[in-house]
Amino acid sequence: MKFGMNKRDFIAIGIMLAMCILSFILLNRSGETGTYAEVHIDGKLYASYPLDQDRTEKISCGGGHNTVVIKDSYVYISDADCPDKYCVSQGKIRETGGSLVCLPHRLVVEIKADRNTEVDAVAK
Amino acid sequence: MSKRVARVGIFVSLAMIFSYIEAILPFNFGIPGVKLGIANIVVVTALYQLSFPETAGISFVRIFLMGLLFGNLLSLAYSFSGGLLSLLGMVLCKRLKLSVIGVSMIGGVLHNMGQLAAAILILKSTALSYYMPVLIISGLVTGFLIGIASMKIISSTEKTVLK
Repeated sequence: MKFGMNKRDFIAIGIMLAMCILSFILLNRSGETGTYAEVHIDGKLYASYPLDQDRTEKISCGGGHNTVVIKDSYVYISDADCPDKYCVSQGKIRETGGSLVCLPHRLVVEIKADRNTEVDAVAK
Repeated sequence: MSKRVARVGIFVSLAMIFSYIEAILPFNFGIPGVKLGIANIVVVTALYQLSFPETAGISFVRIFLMGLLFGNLLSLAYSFSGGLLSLLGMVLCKRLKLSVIGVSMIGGVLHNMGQLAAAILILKSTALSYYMPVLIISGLVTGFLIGIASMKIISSTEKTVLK
């Protein structure tokens, strides 16, 4: 076989591809527009903003800052002083389950369908 | 013993040079966090030509020194987590009689998985887990390329000074 690869290699690669497809199906976003953007810093909920109100928030976190913008129901990070700027290049999101991540600043913005508070849970 | 120390030292310096080349000339695939990881050629080669303790030593000394020289505590944590998982997976695959390329491909995927696990622990959020399919595919592709290079090196250095 080419490159000296054998049957066991293809079994292992097959398992990896199966994991890939499985994780793609399990972790796929719902496709529905969310209603809230939750901002988490270092695993803790920092703020929850409704998507129907436009706003610009400069958030201090992890020794720097990220500017989170909500405009026309979309959330994006317009500016940050982290070294890689991957958070800015992740673009605009609005689907439930979608997220923007700034790894160096440990900032996560997640789109939720409902506001996650104790009060709402009781009101239901 | 001194011969083994010298040999490990040579491999570590080679791996560090590869890491450095990749840092100044990134082989970018246009996907955040995805890179070729040419230093892994050294680790895969060591896995086949040296003992397991030597290979583990090469991998971790390289990660530690590169983290100390060019990274920070966080980048060290990602590299260590990826390096550890990848090394253990590759040893297992080698025992299971996979070819050099197969071992390298699994190593590539597990390297990415380890880094993702570290990122999830550091962020205390599973928000990044959606990235897993991308990381599996990119690990297979980069592992394949690293595997070809390693296979060539292993077959052409088999009967040399390394033994």
